[in-house]
Amino acid sequence: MGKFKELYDYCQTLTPKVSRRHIEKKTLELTGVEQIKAMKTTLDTTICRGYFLSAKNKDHPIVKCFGGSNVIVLARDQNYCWERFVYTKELMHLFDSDDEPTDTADKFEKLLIDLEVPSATESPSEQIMSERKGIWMALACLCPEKSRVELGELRTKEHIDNYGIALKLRIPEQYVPLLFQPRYDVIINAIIDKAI
Amino acid sequence: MGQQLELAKKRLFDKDSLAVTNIKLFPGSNRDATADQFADQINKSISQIESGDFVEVDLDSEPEPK
Repeated sequence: MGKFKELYDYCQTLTPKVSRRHIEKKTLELTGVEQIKAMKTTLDTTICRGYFLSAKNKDHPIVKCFGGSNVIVLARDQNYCWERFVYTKELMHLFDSDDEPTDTADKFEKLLIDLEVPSATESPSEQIMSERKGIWMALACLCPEKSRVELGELRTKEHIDNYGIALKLRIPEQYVPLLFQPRYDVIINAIIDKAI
Repeated sequence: MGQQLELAKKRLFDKDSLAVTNIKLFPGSNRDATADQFADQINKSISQIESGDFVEVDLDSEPEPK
C-alpha cells in the first residue's frame, strides 16, 4: 500500500474536478500495470454499478478482445458523477495486496454473501475489506485534502451544501458526507500506512 | 446456493474459462440485493461483452462536462 501513498500524495497536487485520466496514468505507473480497459454494459444499477476484473486466460475472447487482462466494467445508465466514482473505486483494486484479490470461487461466493448480509460471527474477509477501502481511496483521490478542508469550512458555515460540493467534485452526493466524518483522517491515514 | 452464482463461479474461475485472478464489485442502491442477483448481473454483463454488446470508454476522448 506504499504505492497508494504515492498516488495519494500525487492527488494532493491536483484540484477539483480531479481528472480520472490523471489518476489512471499515475496508478498504472505506480503499479507497473501496462494497461486497463474500461467499458460499459447494461447493468441494473439497483444491484451493481460496475466491477473490476482481472483474468489470466489469454485465450478467452474477452481478454483477447481488449489486449490485456485488466478491465473495469461500468453500468451504461448512470450519470457522470457515478461513472467517475465507480471507475475510480474499481481502479483502486490495482493496489490490492496479496491477500485481497477475489481469486477463487469460494472467495467470490463469500464476497457476494457478505455484500448481501454481513456476517455477524466471522471477521470480515480481506476481499470485503478491500471493497470498503476502495471507496475511501477513491474519495481521497477525487477530493484533495486542501479542497476537503476548504469545502468543509464552507459547509460548516452553511455557505454550501452536500449537493454543491458534489457538483464541484463531480462525485455522487451520497458520498459527500463521508468526506466530513470525524474519522475521515484516521481512516485515510490507516489505509496509507497499511494499517488496514 | 443460487443457479446464477454457480454459473458465475464457473465462468469466472474455471481454468478454461476466464481464470479470474481478481474480481471486485460496486453494489447498487438496493440494500436487499441477494448474492444470486449480483451474480446474475455479472453473468449478463459478461454475456454482453462476449457478444460485442458493449461500449469502450476512452478517458482521453470522452468529453467531460465542465
